[in-house]
Amino acid sequence: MKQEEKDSSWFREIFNEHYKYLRNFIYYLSGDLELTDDLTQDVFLHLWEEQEKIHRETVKSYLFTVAKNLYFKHHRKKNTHLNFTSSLLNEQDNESPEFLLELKEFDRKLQDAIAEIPDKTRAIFLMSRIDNMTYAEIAERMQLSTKAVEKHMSKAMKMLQQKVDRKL
Amino acid sequence: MNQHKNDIDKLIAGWGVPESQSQDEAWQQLIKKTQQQRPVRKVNFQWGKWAAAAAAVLVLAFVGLSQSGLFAPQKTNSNLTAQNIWLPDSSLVQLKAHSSVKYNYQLIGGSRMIHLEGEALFDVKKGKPFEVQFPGGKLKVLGTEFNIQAYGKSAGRVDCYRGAVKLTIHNKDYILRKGKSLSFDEKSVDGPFNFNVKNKLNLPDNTYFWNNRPLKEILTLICQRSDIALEAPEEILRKRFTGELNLSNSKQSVHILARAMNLNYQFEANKLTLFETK
Repeated sequence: MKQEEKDSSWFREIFNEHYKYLRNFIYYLSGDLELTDDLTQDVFLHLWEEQEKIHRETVKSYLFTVAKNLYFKHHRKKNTHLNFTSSLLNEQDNESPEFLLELKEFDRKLQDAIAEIPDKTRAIFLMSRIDNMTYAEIAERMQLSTKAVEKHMSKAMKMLQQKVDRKL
Repeated sequence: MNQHKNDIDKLIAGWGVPESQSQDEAWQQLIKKTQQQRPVRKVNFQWGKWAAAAAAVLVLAFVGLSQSGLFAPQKTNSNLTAQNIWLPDSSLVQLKAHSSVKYNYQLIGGSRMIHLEGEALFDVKKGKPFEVQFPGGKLKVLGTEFNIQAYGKSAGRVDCYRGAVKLTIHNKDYILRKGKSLSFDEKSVDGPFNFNVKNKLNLPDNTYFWNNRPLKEILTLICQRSDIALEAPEEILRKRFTGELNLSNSKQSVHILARAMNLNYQFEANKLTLFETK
């Protein structure tokens, strides 16, 4: 297969469209920044190599499925440790240092609580909450039914509530 | 509680995955990788074919090698006393001084192929064809017990104690039956002649018995057993000897032999020289 025969403009388009969300998704799964960057590259490399074989309309779910499989097969972490940046924390300039400290502490506890949720459920929950995806969008990427996504969501919220109640 | 939940949602919505490289940098890196990756994929594509070819070569090599006996097990006896070796088919090989034997059972046909250098007594279990190759010739077993002396092509002897063996020496076939012996050198074959089966050569204490045999045979054996060179005029080597001799100590046996045959001898470093007494 020669390079010219591969459709690089299409590839570029797909990359631009999905890079951020794919990278976020892998981070939601792993909580490991270095692994996230490597794995994102790997997923796109897979797409590059197999672009003749896949249906272009399902490329979205292809990317997420490859990412999911690669992560669960080779890189699964026992203990996930999340470390998100928080825009809310940075906005609170006018608040007292005490409040900021408290908020920071709460933010840490919340991240730890979310890290304890099972990988797939956590990823779905965060896709919904951080990336603002609809259940249908998540379902398409994860190759699940909307119903299943709903279940993951309610499971995540239930677990979160318990953990936050217990910790605070 | 609801207020609390909203706070949590707000907080989570404000989260972002930490930045590492920009999207553009990631793209550049990716493009670089796509260009490196290709040749590897090509090899991968033909992997199945190569693997099949490699497997076929391996199988052929394995069969070929096992047939050729290149890696056949080898036993060597570098002591002066005989050493008993049981082959996998429970045939017994009694390996004499400075001798080695290789055995190799063919996958196809199951022939038992033996490669001998030196001297050994064989007691063969009945079964598949048993073939011994030695310097100067080869032998196929029809019977069961025989002795081969063949340290080199220069001199050798085969004795048959039981049954019969089929010998091939200098491209000529001989059948040796019980109580018959045959000796050979590079050019000629002597025999078959009779020997006394009861005087089992050299068993078990290195005592050999000869009945009217040329000195060449005896001296060659002594020298080969202890890896020394022999130098003697033809007329001495043609002389014949009858009697018993213990070969545990080669110097001593040469001494006895020289006395008996009225000869002078001299040992130098790894060399034995014999001459007539004046």
